[in-house]
Order: sequence, then structure tokens, then C-alpha cells
Amino acid sequence: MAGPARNGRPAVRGRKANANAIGYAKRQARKGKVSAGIADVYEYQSQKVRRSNIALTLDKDEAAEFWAGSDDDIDRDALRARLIGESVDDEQIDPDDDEELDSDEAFEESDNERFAGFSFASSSKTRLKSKQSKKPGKRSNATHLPDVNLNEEESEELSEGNEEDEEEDGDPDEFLDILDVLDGRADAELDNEEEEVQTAKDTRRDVDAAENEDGSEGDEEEDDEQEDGSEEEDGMAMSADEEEVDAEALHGLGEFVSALDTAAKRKAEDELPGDVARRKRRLIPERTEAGVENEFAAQMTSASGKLRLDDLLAPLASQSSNVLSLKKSAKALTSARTGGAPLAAPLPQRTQERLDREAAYEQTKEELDKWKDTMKQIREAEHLSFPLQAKPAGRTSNLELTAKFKPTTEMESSVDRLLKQAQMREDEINKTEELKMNHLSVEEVAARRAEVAKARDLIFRSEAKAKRIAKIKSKTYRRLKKKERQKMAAKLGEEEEEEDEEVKLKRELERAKERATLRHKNTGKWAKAMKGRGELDADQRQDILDMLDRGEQLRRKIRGDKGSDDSGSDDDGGADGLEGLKARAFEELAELKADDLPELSGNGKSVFDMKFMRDAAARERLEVNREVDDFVKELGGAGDHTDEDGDHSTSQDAPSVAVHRMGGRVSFRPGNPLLSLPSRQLAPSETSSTTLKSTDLPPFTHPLSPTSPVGSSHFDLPSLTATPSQEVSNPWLVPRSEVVGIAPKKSEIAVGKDSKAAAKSKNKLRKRQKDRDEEKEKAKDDAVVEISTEDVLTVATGPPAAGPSKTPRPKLKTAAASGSAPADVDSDGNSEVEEQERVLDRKGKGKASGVKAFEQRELVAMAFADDNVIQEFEQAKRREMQEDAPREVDTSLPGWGSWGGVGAKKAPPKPHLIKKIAGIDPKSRADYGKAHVIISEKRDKKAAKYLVKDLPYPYTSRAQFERSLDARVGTEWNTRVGFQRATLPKVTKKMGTVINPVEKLF
Amino acid sequence: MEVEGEMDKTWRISQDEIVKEVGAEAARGRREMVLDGGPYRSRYTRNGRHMAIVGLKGHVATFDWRTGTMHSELQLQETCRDITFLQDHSHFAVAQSKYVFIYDRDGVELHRLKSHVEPTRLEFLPFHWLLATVGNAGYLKYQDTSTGQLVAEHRTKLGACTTMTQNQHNAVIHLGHQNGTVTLWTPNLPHPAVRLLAHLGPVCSVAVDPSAGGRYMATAGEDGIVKVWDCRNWKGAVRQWAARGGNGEVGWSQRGYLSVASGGSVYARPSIHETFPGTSPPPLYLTHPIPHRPLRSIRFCPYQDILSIGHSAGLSNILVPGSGEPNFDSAEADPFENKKARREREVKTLLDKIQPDMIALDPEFIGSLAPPSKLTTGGTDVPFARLPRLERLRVQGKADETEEASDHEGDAANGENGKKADREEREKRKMRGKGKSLKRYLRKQRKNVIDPKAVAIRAKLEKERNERKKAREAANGVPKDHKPSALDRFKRPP
Repeated sequence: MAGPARNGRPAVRGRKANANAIGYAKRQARKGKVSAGIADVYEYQSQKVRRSNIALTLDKDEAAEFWAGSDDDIDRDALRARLIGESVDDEQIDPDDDEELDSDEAFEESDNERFAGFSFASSSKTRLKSKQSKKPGKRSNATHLPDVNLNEEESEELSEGNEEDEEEDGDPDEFLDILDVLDGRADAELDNEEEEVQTAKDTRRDVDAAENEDGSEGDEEEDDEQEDGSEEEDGMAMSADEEEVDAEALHGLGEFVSALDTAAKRKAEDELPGDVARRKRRLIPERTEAGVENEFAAQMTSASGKLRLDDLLAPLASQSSNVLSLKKSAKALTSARTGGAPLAAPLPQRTQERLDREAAYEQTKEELDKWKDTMKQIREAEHLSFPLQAKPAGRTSNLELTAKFKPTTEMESSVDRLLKQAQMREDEINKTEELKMNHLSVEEVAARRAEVAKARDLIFRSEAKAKRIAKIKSKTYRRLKKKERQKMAAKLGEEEEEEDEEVKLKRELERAKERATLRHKNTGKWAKAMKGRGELDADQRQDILDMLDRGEQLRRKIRGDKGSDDSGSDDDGGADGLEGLKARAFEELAELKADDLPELSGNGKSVFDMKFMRDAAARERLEVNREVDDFVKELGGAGDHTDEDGDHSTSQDAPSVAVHRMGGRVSFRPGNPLLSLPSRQLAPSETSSTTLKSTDLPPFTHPLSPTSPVGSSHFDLPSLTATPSQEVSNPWLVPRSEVVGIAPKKSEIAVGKDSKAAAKSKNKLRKRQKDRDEEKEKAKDDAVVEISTEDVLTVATGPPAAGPSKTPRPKLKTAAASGSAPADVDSDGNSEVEEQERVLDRKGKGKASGVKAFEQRELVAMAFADDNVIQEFEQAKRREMQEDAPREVDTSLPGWGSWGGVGAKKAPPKPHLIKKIAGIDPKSRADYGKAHVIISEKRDKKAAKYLVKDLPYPYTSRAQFERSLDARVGTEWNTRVGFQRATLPKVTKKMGTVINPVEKLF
Repeated sequence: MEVEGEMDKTWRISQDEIVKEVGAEAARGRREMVLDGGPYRSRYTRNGRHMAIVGLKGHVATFDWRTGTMHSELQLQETCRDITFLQDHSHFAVAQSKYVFIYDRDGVELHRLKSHVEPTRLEFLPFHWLLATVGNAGYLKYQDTSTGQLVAEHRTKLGACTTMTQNQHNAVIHLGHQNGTVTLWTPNLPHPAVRLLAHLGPVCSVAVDPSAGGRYMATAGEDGIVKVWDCRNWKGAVRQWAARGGNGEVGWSQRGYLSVASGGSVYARPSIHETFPGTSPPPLYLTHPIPHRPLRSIRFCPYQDILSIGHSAGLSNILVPGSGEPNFDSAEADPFENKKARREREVKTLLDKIQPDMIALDPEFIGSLAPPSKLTTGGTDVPFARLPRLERLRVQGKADETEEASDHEGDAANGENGKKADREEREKRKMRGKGKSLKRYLRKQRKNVIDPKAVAIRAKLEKERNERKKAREAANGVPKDHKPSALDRFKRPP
């Protein structure tokens, strides 16, 4: 479709191009499908990109018109499908004719000359896209088949006049299209790849028609003949051009292929046939529904024939930005639906709810996280005074002032009047601005703002740069700068005197040079200058195009391939263009291979000649070869010489690469796979046999029988053959090893396979005997244990009952020893008295007198007889420690979870039934190691309420906290301000103020 | 009180000499009260102005001893074992034969505390307004004198108790028992906070030094031994010696002079506190022979250099120069307070009264961080969330360990660990060969730089290295290199 700019040109041309295209399509359908397909494929590829551009440039009116015009085509398409499918006799009706006529009729109906081009373009486009709503006047396809035929005739008659003028104007338009393409501009006219194809083919076919004068061709061809002379000329020129383009396209293809590396080449080859198939297999959707066809009717564009959201929005497409945004939001819906997959079943309610909750939680969390910092601050604040957020002190802004302003003095009022007259007062300006802004969408505003920001930024930067540069003191820099400036000035001067004759001449000369050399089509001075002038007008563009074309031709000449070759290839291009391509590709491959070979023969000095590099290179080469082979194989069905080549390559490759699969890893190594294959087959069988044999053999005969049949295998051979030889070589070792190594084994394995049943039974008996013995022994053990306990009980009158005490007794002893008490703890109570007595005895002996004089000590001893102070104290201490010590209480019930009876062993206590009671380790007690003191470790519950249980927040150590407590708060030790600050309550509030919740300021 | 020569001893100076020397006002403190009615016990008010005396036979008198004005004098006609002033001289409690009675200043009986049966000793805790009594039944009872409630009643289970004192520093009651133990009590705990086996015989007197923050406790037993204990760690007697007479009372003065009633001797302060391994007595400061036995009480007068000794023939106040605190804090206890001040102080102390459950061994525990529990959980790991904050910080590595490390250094238990850690630290910090200044210098002076200094240093290093090597070899027993001689060829290889 032509864009609005294009519409300035005569629309008739476009229409003619339309006709051409349609005619071409018809002929194409009649032609051998293979060649057309191939040719099309390449064109399709080269123009693939343009589709999107076209879609974007669709105007609303255009779209509406376009759909209106194209309806018939679709209709006709649908019809054709039906006709062919249903009745054979209908085949004779030329579907292409039918199609053409229909479209013409459509044109008539539309009655719009301007949009002829669009409708033409749509005829092909609609084929890709899905069907449209039918026009009200049309008959339904299924019911009125004959009508269709009638319609054809009708259209034939009607088409005559219309088609002529349409076609007349079509060609130039077409021509310009190509120009534009070459120019690099995205084309609005070229609807999609198909249209492109058609237009290109169309023009060529026109020439063909002129040459061939085919009688079988439809009226459309005749129309072509009827063209005016001037028109004819035009067509001729165009066709020649077209031919060139075609040739060029083919050539370009060749180049393209050559440019590809091997892998890419393969891919490309893959794509080609597939594409052809795709084109051939296109399904034309069927029309099933009838409806009012107008701008607001839903028009389906999708090939699937389903109504999509896009269709509904289509009529509103260009109305306003709101619709755009709506579309954007609806995009998700449509994209989800375009997948074509059925909607998934809804999640279970619980899952759905959980997901919802999760999402909601995330949201809420995000929202609440915004408060985090604030709350932290508030929480950590030493002092809070409410209201937290003071009302901002009202600083009057300029706007406020201006709003309040009222002219009071004379001058002010006069100025105001003036402003009012000029409509320059603030509110008026605002109003106009607002009006302007109303038309702008959000994006536009944002863009404008961004632009302004950018400009500001640039200005700022440039200023900064200028400042920086101004500061530079280097003289050389200044000199260089100056020169540069001069140069610039000179240049500017040159440009200014552009109009001078001399300059013009010079320019022409340059251009001539450019054309002569053709080395750099765009880098030459002239081209640059032309480019620099910005917008090219049509002539200039034409010139550039010419230049490019010529350059291309010349280059081809230089390369040596003739134009005739091209044409020749073009002639049979339909038939074996692909073949030729393939052939070229293979040649390329061969070349590559040839290139590879000389690399092997290095001079042995570079890094690449080192062993590992060479290995790597070989590996790479192999990889590449493999790829090439794959490629060749894939193309195998094509020409016979390729087959040969493929065969050759495979046969060449076959000996060079041996593929081994060893334990899951594929390794490639040079060598003959045919040779390696048998060995590969051999290996598993061998291993299996050896394993079998080894398992068959009894283990103890293994070292003794060196001549066992195992020797045949070479897998275990070294280990097996080596041992006997060693044994043989050292005769001293043989008997010894037998004696040492085998005898114990024999004794261990009492019953072999070969032993008799009697022996077995004997052995069994022995075993049973052994078991019984063990049992007996166990029983004996138990008995012994019982007896011994009795023994202990009877004997152990001396030592005290151990009791459940866990406190280490020896420690107490030492503690006692350290004190004033004698070492013997057990007789502690009597110790003092005994000692006294002993002393007394000694004294008595010493004195050796019968008189017993009571001394102080004696008296004391008598007074404190039976007063075992120390012992009692120690006992008390022990008791205390036991009470406090951590305990383990066995909570298992006797008789539960264990076996009883004679011979039953007492099971160890189960760990989960042992209850651990926390306590104070005797060693950690304050009185540990102090025999004369018992310091209670029990918790003072009543005093606990005066303790701070956990370290308060800001402090990180006990010392810090205690230091803070030590600090005095009184006025005597602090300054007045310090005291006030320290004693300020955490929260203060003004009397009578309303405390509002904290407001969000972000 | 000082002496001139080496040979002069302070304890030789008699009271007459002292009285002659001191001023007239101070000399008034020296007096002999000859009273009938058995051995007397005495008590001073906190400001040292008023005195209460009680004789075993029931003679009770309270008076301002400075002015000599008698407040009240009662003949109770029954056994009176102890007397104490309450918050000030306006009230006093007497431990009579059956109960404790409270009288006002004029000797009017106000209360009969029936719950205190057969009391033997009384103590009044001024800051808590608690009257603590212990009796023949062996029950320690706390009575709040402001509210009249019996706060706590602890069964000592150690029989009749005739020895009781309070630690003025932390208001802990010290009881001496017949089995030689001294027990420390607080109203909170139904069991003694500390039990100390002080003597092998009954404990006849206990006193706590008010001068050193309640750090020292002196005990005297029936076995005639006086022991001084360190109340902070109870490591054992700081000092112990056999008093001459035995069986005597002990008392501390405000400035830490310890008086032992057995021989009527007073010991000077510093020597008492010094740890002394032997059993020899600390140097005597003063002696005052009293012929009247038994000596039942011994009290230093606060803010005065006066010691009043109660004995069977009455009371004798002697002068102990330097024993009392010369500077009083009038906000704390004002010896010269008038009636109004007294009243005001009464109200203030009542308002500032401390709750009885605030009594603990460590008086500064209030408001402090709870000490880490010594309870071992037997291997079960406490989850992070349930750990106390300090532990959590430690786990996270955020705890400030610097000050605690310094605290631990002093700990005997951590001594070894600390040393070990120290060694490790030193090992870690040890300068390896690389960082030495010389080497650093040489490293800086790269090898290709050859200047005389670097060369000299290199030569020096080389020389040192050789020497070290030689020394090492010598240490290892490698024979020194001999000068090669022609005879070496005949040497056998080792």
C-alpha cells in the first residue's frame, strides 16, 4: 500500500502494478510449480524484513479501505477451494480468472481511485491473513456456486475498462518501489513478501508476454498488449530493469551462498526446500459466518478464523492514544490466546488462594518495608515529642504571591491592563498551555520533558567543557586548536561558495572520478558531499542508484563472469538453479578441503606445529569434515555429481576416521574403522568369557593352576601369567606360599562343594555343638555374675554403700586433707578425739607418771566428744552439691520394653527414656575446692525481679551496660543541660494537640 | 596513738595516761558504770549519741551518754538477753525471756512481738526497717517495724543461737552456731546463703568490719581462736590466732580496729587485714584489763574513740584513740541533730525504706544484668532464638569482648587458658624472618642495586648466617672442619 507521501504520485500506476501482479500470480499458478517455488524462495528471503514496516504504516482509513477491497479476493479464494474440492467438472473454470475478476469487481464497488493500489496489494495479503466479513450484497459460497460463475463473467466484462487505467499506472509505481528498496528505505508499498514476489515476477512476465504472445493467456495479458506506446515503452524499460534485478538477485544468491561458512550453508540449504513446501501447503480458510461488514464490525485477521481481541480493537486503532494504551493492556490477553492452546484448568481453590495470599503478602511487605527505616528511627530515638510530623512552616511561594496579587498602585494597574490586552497574564498563558497540553499524550509529554532535560544537560556539559578547556595553558594545545579552527573556517568558506562555477566543475570532476574508479561507492568525496547535503531528491537518488548498478556490473566483469552466463543461468534457473547452487556449494566445500590440506605440512617451527596443537587441529578438522559429510548427505538426493562427491568424501573419510565407543564416550582417532570394528566386537565377548571363567573357577585353585584355560584371554593375561612365572622362578617361595596361604583356607572352609554328605552332617553337628557350648557359656557367665554379686554383698561390709552420689569422693578427701582435719576421712568423726588421745598417750608415756592431770586439750576433747563437726559439714556440703548437680533420671518402667527371665541380658537404658535435669556442675560452684564453706548456688527467686534478665538493646557487652548504670544522673554530678537531657522522658507531647498517625511522606 | 621508740609499745599505755593526754571533751568518754544485775550488753544509736544498756537480770536503760540525760530506765524483772535501738533512740527493742518487746523512748511498752519466742539476740536493719531476732529455738525472724509484718522466718536447724551480727554493708545477718558454723542469711532465702565452718567449737561471737565495705568478718569461738575471714571469696581465714582468755566477744570499730574482749585487747587495723599464714596474733594496739568476767559485750561508739565493754559488774567505756570515724556525714547520721532533724530523718528513712527482698550478698545487684546461669543443660543445645541477647551477640560476633577479656585475666580459673591464648597470640604476632627491618631493607634494595651499604649488609648477614650454621652444627655434634692435612687420606669414612 502506498503511504501518504506516495499518494502524491499518480495512483493509476499503482493500479496497473496491481493488475500486473495479479496476472502474474495467475500465470504462476499455471506454470510448473517447482521452478516458481524456488525462484520465489530466494526473493522471499531477501525481502523478509519488510513485513513489519508495512504493518506499522497502516493508516486507519487505509486499513478500512483495504479490508473492504480485499474481501472479494478472500471470498474467491474460499470459493476456489470449494470448487476444486467438490466437483471435478468445475476444474475447467480458471480459478485465476475468477480471482482477478472478483477483485476488479471489488474495485468497482469501492469506487475509490485513490485506494486502488491498496486493494491490489491486499489481494495478495489477504491470502495470508484470514478471511474477512462478507459484504452484505454477496452471496454465500456454499449455496450459490453457479452464481459465482456468473459473477466471473460479469467481472470479465466489467473489468476491461478499469483494469486498463489501473495497469497503466502500476508500473512506474513499481519501479519507484525498487528504487526505494535499493535506497535502503523501508517501503510502505510492499505489503509482504508475496506481493514483492508478485510485483517482481509480474514485471518480468510482462516482458515475456510481449515476446511470447501466448494465446492461452487471459484477457489480462491482452490488456497488457493494449497499452499505449508510451506506456509500452515504460513497461519495456521497466522490464529490462526488472530483468537486471532478477539477474542480480540470482547473483546475489550465489554470493550469499559463497559467503556462508559450511555450517551456515547447510542451514540455508535446509531452509530452502522447507520454505517451498510451506508456500505450497498454505491453507485457505473457509468462510463460515455472515455479518454486516462495516468499519465497526469485527473483522478477523487471524488465520485461525477465530475472533480475536485485536479484531475488535482494529477499528478504534488510530482514534486516540487511550485506545493504544488499552491495546497495550489487552496485549497480554491476545498474546495468551494466540498460542492457540486451550486454556488451562483453573488451579485448585486452595492453591489459588495460597498463591493469592503469597502475592498479597509480597505486596503488603513491600508496602510495609517502606516504613522500616522510619519505625527503626522512632524505636531507637532517645526521645520522641509528639506530634512527630510538625506542620510545615508555610513559606509563601511565588505562585501563591502571584495568585494573591492585586494591582493597587497606578503603575501596577496599568501594567496589568497591558498584560490583559496582550492576553499575557499568568492564567491566560496557563490556559493556552493547558490547551496545548491536552492534545499531548503522556508519552509525548515525557518525551518533551526528556528532550528539554537532555538539552539542559548538554548545555551544562558544553559549558563545563568550555570552562575546562579555557583553563588549559599549554601553548602547543592552543596552537593546535588555532590550526583546527582555521581549517574549519576554510571548510566553511568552501561550502559557502558552493555556487561558484569552479567548485561545480570540481565537483563534477570528482564525480567522474568516482564513477570511473567505483572503488568506494559511498566513501568517495562526491558521494560524501551528496550525502552530507541531507535529503536526496529523486534525481540524485537515481544517480546514486545508477552508479551503484554500474559499479556492480563492472565488478562482475572484472571478476570474469559474463552477463550472458547470468542470463543463461536465469534461463534454466527455473529448472536447475538449485542444482547450480548446490554444485557451487560443493565446489566451495572442495576448495575448503583443499585449503585445509596444505596446513598440515608445516615447517615444524611455529606453535601450530607443536604436537598438541596439531592434535587439536586434527580434531577440529575431523569435526568440520563430519559436518561437511552431514551436509552432503542431507543434500544427497540432488544432482548425481553431488552424490559422487558425497560418496567420494565419505569413502575418503571412512579410512581416516575410526569411531570408537568406549564406555559411553565416543572417541575419534585416525585409523580404519573397518579394521577396528572386529576388535571392538571381540572385546566384550572376551571380557564376558573371562569373567565367566573366573567366576567358575574356585578361588583357591586360582594361583595353583597356572595352566588353567584362562590364559587364552589377553585381558587378565598379564596378572595371571606373571604369578606362576614368578613362582616358578623362585622355587623357595612355592612351598612356603602353599603352606602359609592355603592351609588356613582349608581349615576355614571345612565343607567344600566336593565334600560328602556325611562330612556335611558332621559339620552341622559340630556347629550345633558349638552353639550349645556358647549358650552354656552364656548361662555360666550369668551364673557366675550372680554368684559374684552375692560374694560382693557378703564381703562388702567394710566400704560404705556407694549410693547414687556422683560427686568425686577423692576430691573431697583432698579437700579435707588440705584443711586442719586428718587425712582419714572415714574416721573423721573420731579423728580429733583419737588424736587427742594419741597425744595424751605420748604425753603420758613421756611423763611416765600415774597422775593424770587434765589439760585444756583433754577437757576440750571431752567437751566435744561425739561432736563430729567437720564430718557433718562435709556431708552437708556433699548433699548440697548433689542436689544442685545435673542429674539423669531413668524414666523407663521396669518390665516394659525388655525381656526378662534367666539368661536375659539386661538391656542398656534407652537414651530417650533418660531424662536430663539441668544442674550446676560441682566444678563450676563458687565453693569448689573450699572445704570449709558452702555457698548456696540456688537461685534467689525473690531477688530475681530486681535483675535485668537480658542485655538491653544498645549495649553489646555486660561491661557497657554496667558502666551506663554507674553513671550518675543527679544534678550534683551533671550540668543542668546534661541532667535535663538525661532525665527527659522518652515521650513528650504538647498539651491539647491532636496526635495524628505518622503520614507517609514518600 | 603513736609511741616514740622501738621499745615502747602502744598497748602498754594505760587508760589513765590516755585520759590525761586527751582533751577534756574526749576524756568524758572514759567512764566506768558500776551496775548490778549481771553482765550487761550495750548498744549505740547510729549517730553514736544515745546508748542503751541491758543487764541480764532485767535492768534496761537508755540515755544520751554525752549529756548524761536518761531517757528511760526500766527494771523488767526477767531475763533480758539483748537490747537494740530501732530507727533512732525513740524506740528500742528488748529481747526478754519470752518475747521481744518494743518500748518507746520513755520506756513505755509499745509492742510485744509474740512471734519472736525466747529471743537471744536482736539486730535492727536500719535501711529496711527490719528487726531480726534469733532465739533459743533457732529461728531467725524478720519483723518489719514500719508495717509490723513478720517478713521472713527461717529455721536454722542448728539449735539455739546466741551469736548474731549484721553486715551493715549488705544487711546480711551473720549467725554463729553451736556446731562452729557461721551462717549468712537473707530474708529471701530459706537456707543460708553461705555456711562457713569457722570453728571446731561453738561460735561465741561474730563481727563484720564496717570500714572495708563489709569485707572482713571476725569470729571468735569457744576454742579460744579468733579468725578473720574474707567475705568475698571465703578462701579461708585471713588470719587466725588464739586469744589469750578465749571465749570472748569481738567487735570492729568504724575505722577497722578489732577489739577482742577475751583479754581486753584491741588490735590495730592494718595488721588485722593482712593475710598471715601463722597463728600468731597481730600486733596489739591497746589492752585494758578488766577483772569482771564474763565480758558479754563489746561495742565501739560511732564517731567517737570510745569502746564500751559490758561485763558482769556493769560497763566500762575506754578510750581507743583513732578507732572512730572523725568526720560524720550529717545526712547519714548526725550526732548533733535536733528534734526536728530527727523527725525529718525518720520520715525520710521511712520513705527511703528498702524492700526486704532486696537483701542479697551483693548489695549492688539491683538493676544489674542477671549473671549467666550456671545450669548445665547436659548437652542439649539451646536454639539461637532462645539464647539471651548477649549469647546471640557472641554467636554473631557482635559482642564487645574487650572489657570482659580484661576481666577474665584476673580470674584464677581462666589463668591457664589466658596464658595459652597469650602464647598463641604471641606466636601469631611473632615477626617472621620476612618482616624484619633488615630484610625489608634488603628487599627494597633490589639485588641488582649494588652500593657499599647494601653490600656491607649482605656481607654481614652472610657472616651471621654462617655463624649460626656453625653453632647449630656444634650443637648437633658435627665435628668442626679441620684444616685439611696430608694425613686425611688415611681417615676411614665413618
